[in-house]
Amino acid sequence: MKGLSLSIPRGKITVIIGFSGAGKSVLLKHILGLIKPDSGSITVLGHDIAQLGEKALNDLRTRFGMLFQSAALFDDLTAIENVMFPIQEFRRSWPKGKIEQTAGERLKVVGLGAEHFDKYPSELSGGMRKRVGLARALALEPEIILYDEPTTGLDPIITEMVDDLIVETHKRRAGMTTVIISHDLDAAFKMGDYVAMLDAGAIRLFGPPQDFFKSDDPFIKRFVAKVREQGK
Amino acid sequence: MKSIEFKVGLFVLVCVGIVVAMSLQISKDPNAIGGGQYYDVLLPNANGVFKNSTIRMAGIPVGTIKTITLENGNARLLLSLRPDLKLTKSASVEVKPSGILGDKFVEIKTGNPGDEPLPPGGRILIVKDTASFDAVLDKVGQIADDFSVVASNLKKATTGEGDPNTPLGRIVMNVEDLTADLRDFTSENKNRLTNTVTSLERITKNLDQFIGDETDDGFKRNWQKMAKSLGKVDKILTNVDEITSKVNDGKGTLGKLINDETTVEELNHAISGVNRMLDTANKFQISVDYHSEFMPASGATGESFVKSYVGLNIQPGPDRYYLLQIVDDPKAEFQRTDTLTSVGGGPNTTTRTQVAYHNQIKFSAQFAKSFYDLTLRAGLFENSAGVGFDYHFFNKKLRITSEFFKFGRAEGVDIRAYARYKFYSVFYAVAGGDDIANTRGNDLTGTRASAFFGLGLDFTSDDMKLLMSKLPF
Amino acid sequence: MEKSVPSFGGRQLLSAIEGVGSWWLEMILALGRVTNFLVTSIFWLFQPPYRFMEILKQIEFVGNKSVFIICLCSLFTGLVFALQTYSAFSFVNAETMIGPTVALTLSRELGPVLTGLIVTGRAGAAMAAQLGSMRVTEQIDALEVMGVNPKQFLVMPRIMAGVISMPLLSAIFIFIGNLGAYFLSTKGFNIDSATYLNKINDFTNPRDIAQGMIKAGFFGLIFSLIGTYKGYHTTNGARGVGSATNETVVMSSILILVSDYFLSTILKRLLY
Repeated sequence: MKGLSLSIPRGKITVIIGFSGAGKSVLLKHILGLIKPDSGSITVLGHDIAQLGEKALNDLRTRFGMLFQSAALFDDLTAIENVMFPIQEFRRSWPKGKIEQTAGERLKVVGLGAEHFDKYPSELSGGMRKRVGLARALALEPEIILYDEPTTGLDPIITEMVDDLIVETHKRRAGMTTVIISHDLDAAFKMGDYVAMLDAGAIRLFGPPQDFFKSDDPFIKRFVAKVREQGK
Repeated sequence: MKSIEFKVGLFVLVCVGIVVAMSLQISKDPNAIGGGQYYDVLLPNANGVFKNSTIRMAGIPVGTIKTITLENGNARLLLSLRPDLKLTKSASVEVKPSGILGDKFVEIKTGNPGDEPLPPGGRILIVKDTASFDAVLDKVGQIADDFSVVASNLKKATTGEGDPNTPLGRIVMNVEDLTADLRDFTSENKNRLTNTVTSLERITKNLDQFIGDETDDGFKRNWQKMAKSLGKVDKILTNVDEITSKVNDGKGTLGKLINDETTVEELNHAISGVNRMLDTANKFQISVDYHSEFMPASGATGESFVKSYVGLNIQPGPDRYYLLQIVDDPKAEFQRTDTLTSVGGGPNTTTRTQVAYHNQIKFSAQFAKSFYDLTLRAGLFENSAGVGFDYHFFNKKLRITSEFFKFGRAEGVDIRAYARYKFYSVFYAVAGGDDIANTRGNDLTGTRASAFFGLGLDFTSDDMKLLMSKLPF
Repeated sequence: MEKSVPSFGGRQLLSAIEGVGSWWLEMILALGRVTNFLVTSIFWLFQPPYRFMEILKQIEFVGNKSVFIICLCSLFTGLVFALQTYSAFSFVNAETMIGPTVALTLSRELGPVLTGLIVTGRAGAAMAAQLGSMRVTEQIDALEVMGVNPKQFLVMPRIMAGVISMPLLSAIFIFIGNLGAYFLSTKGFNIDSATYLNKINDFTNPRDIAQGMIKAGFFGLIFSLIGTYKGYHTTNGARGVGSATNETVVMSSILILVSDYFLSTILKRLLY
């Protein structure tokens, strides 16, 4: 990835799209500080991630929430324990009852019934796992929430449900920045306040969805045409 | 389901318990569990002694060697000992070999319990070394002491009035007397001496003649022969000289034997062996018995006789002994002389019989075995085979004896029965009958029953030792 | 120019040398990476929040759950050892030497090594598989994104558990193994039990057990470090998890056996 320059607006939903191998995941890992850039800088919430030490980085990360493509739930913890985990880690002074209560609320918000709370991830369906993952990402009321391919591998009905959940979640918390990495153009244009097109490690276009329909770039045109086709 | 803390805690405790239990099981260090005590000791030579090796007392492990360090050219051993050992100032340590591999172990002795106690942390000062130079010096010292006694006796014997109490002193005095006698003799026999000198002169003259004799049978020839043989003697002596010098240089088997250190050691061993043997000999109870019996008006002549016994009693065990006895028997030989005398020169003769007894030395050698108060004896009784029975009363003060010997005798077996009573210390009295079955007597051999009584002495070796130590030499 | 190109054989030789060189470099690099991995994990041991519960959980997994298999294996090791040494010692009428032989061998060598191999197969492989699958399902990334250091949360407790549990497990191994040999010798071969125990006393020393404990701790470090390293750096999805597990078991076993020799040499200097 080289010569990439992108500033994601606060409080909005930004969708980063691109084909597989375009560098979406790498970009995400840079944002999270999992990978440090060879050169240049990444500034998140006013901190240059490349310059931060491990401890400061960890502190910064508590202001992040992230939903992984595979939900990345901890196998050996139940649904509610997964959500409780970050709270336990970072709200150490909280009594156990309060932590459990908060986690339960988070799970209810994302629409998971209490009967599923004590199930292990392997006992949950893909959609439910996504909900639990989202609840976990939201557990510490983050300022930024990142979605890595939230709907990949899900059937269309659940895809729509997850998309609605993302938008709902965004609306529920004022000032929360949402970043979605996706290859689903349709959903991107539907949900995103801004869309960034990533291609071969560089940004092709960044702007509101309307900009894409107006674009003369043949690459983007081809992309948009595909979306139109699917829409029909 | 128990909490994870409990499970892990249990696991750790059980495992640590196992480790501690195993360690204590195989630990020889009494201080491993605490409550032990430490002492240190300086050894001039800690060769073969290792850290952590076992310390024993009477063969029982009582601790370990904690550390071995160097202190002023000596090896300092820190000993970790069992808490119940009470060491005193006379406690000692000895390095002893264990097994055949040259390993050594430290043997500790608590010391005389009457001595001042040695507090833990103290130093054990006595280190015993079985083959050290000190031990050799000790022996040399003993020998020197003995020599000084001899020297002082000699000095006493040769100065002033002399010493009649020791054999040496008596010898010196005897020599003195002898020389005095000699002087007296020479002064008394001056004339005779002069004659003797004259005779001597004559003899020397004859001798001169003899030596000067030039004939074949004369002295000169013989002298030459002798000189030749003397040359041979000289040769022999040279050879002897060579041999002895070789021996001195350590050449040859004998030389090596004599000059080799090991010979000395072996000799020492042999000497200590002999000492041991003498020790066991000391354990033998030896007693000397002497008694004389008076036989009033006995035998064919109706004379009175005195029969004496000197015996040696060797007792290797409490229930048996060997008896060796020399008996001076005045009635041993009987001589009957018939003298025919013609009455008034006529054909009628009267026979005059003369009888006489001659004394003879006889030997007894018997083996005796005791069964409670009864002792059986068998062996030689005054030069003839026999058996004897002794029965003891009153803690062996009184003994009743019957002896049977001379079985093949014409007048029947000789039976001797008597009682022996020990009345004071080593003194005893005997009374009884000799040859009691032979009441009629035998005129040919002169034997006849007779009564006797007598006195005797019976020393044991302890009595003798007591006696000897009272004597000056 | 043409002259400077080496001949065919020369090129082969060159590439062979290059192969050796790159293998060697790779070895050094790998060693450096593993060392770095270990050092950072240990660093995180001393950083708050302290993961005491995680260490306990891992000790429970490595230690408690291995107790049964260790007991079983050690019992039969002791039995077979006594059986075989009996047949050898009975030739020379030295049956009473079974005790010290079994005790010394178990405490110095077999205890730690066999425990190491067994626990590697059970816990080391599990560590690699667990961390590997967490890696490929992004659980490790999730932890990191949450601001929880995965080395502190996942790696360090496992290494600690390995180092702590192994000496304890090998103590059980030594104990049960000796117990098995003791019962077979006294009940089966009619060796006097007091003689048996006294002979052990004569020939063994607490430092023999100490040697076993130290070795076992080191073996615990080996398998837990390799297991977590391999698992932590798993790539290529499910296949990667499999190969991480496989490599962990193979490498740990080899390293345990090889390092045992060197440890014995070093400990002999230090303890005796």
